[in-house]
Amino acid sequence: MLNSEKILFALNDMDDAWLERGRARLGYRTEGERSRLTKRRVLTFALAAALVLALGASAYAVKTAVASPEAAQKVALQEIEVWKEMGLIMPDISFEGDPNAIMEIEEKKGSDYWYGRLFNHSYDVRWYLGPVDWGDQTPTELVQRKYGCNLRVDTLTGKITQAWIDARPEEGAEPVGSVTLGGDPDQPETAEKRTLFFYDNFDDIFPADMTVDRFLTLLAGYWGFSGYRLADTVDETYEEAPWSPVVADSLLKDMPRGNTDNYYLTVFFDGDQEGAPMYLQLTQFPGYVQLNFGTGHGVG
Amino acid sequence: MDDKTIVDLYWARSEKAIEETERKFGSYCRTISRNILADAEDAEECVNDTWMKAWNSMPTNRPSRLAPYLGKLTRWLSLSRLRENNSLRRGGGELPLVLDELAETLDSGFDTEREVENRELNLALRRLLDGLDKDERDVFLCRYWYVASIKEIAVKFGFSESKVKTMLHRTRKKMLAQLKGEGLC
Repeated sequence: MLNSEKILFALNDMDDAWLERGRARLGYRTEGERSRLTKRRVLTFALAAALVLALGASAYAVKTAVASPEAAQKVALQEIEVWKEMGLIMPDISFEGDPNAIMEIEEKKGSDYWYGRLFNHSYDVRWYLGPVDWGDQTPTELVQRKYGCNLRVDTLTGKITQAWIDARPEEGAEPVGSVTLGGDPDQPETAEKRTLFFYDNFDDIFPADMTVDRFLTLLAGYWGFSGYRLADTVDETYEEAPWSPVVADSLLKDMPRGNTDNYYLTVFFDGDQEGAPMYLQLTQFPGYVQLNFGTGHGVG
Repeated sequence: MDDKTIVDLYWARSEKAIEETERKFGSYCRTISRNILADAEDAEECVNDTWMKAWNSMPTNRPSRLAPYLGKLTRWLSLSRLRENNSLRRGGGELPLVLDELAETLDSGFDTEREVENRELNLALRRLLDGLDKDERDVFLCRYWYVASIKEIAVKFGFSESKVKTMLHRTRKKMLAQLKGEGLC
């Protein structure tokens, strides 16, 4: 037997977990997984047809993929599973129990401040993180979760168009920074003086080796766009800076953090609403970290 | 039906096990076999052979996940079929290209006189893959285990084709170094 053939045969008995990862990334689905996907595609196709009908004859009402808060909750969780399968977010992410809130958001044309973006009719499904080291602002009666989120589910397509995903660090995790409120940091803690800690556990939300480019390429594929153009934006200027390949190739976790210099990345997806940007941002809050992306940001 | 229930059906010697396996994993196993054989009819036969092997191996095996278990059977049967016909390097599919890529790296460094056991080589490859980062390992397995085309991998991973080729090239170099380091070539 030739050497290369030996390698091919010797590779056969590899670790099951590695093979399952490879299978997921290639999208080689088993029947149960396929039928879930097919249902989603059939739904999307039906909705597209309904939309065409509605555009052609406005007297017809447009049917929606997500017609109730309960459906929005179900679809939000399905889409989270799709993101895990894509490798966009970590497989451990889950939101336990019922959502804390599901809010219906009417279709609205944004002002110039929003670059005139059309915000589709959607549901905002929220699982709160629960009490964190955040002063007295968080209601203590809430269930404490490892992960929290706001997921904006578009009722026409059934896709999540905006997401905020929160993760608290593991117990005993080493803080990477702190801020002292109500007193001198060098003096002992008092009832008025509190020290809040910041953490860096973004790898609870997305893989540590995720690059900005890969994240946005996967997102573009998920939303059905053909590509993206990146412009980094600093809050103070609101101006678009030149696209930087250095940023695109950087690890997502290395991106400058919000709440330190209000930094985020502005993204234009090819085929999205012309001139209306989306954004990508990492934020460190006391006691948890947050990834958010999509539309709806105050600047882009 | 979940994997555990299907395995229970095999252990109960119920023919429904094969029916459920075909329904749940038929398409997946056909994809693996077609990637290797590039022939739908041959792939169909290999998949049927896979069900037979599964029937004969459960009991005694009780796999916790059937997709990798059946995938390994299908892949092995498909490769063996080509080897028996001495046609591993022929055909219009991806396999000849995959073999060429491996040969390009390995033939320069391999001692062709040395007979290396499959198990020994398998353990060395496991150690190699264990040391790779996830993207490298995923791309390597998608190419050399699933025999997916460079283009398919690039599209599914959101990478450019040249990036996939570069990653594979680097991993093959690491593989050669690993095998040399372990005295296997």
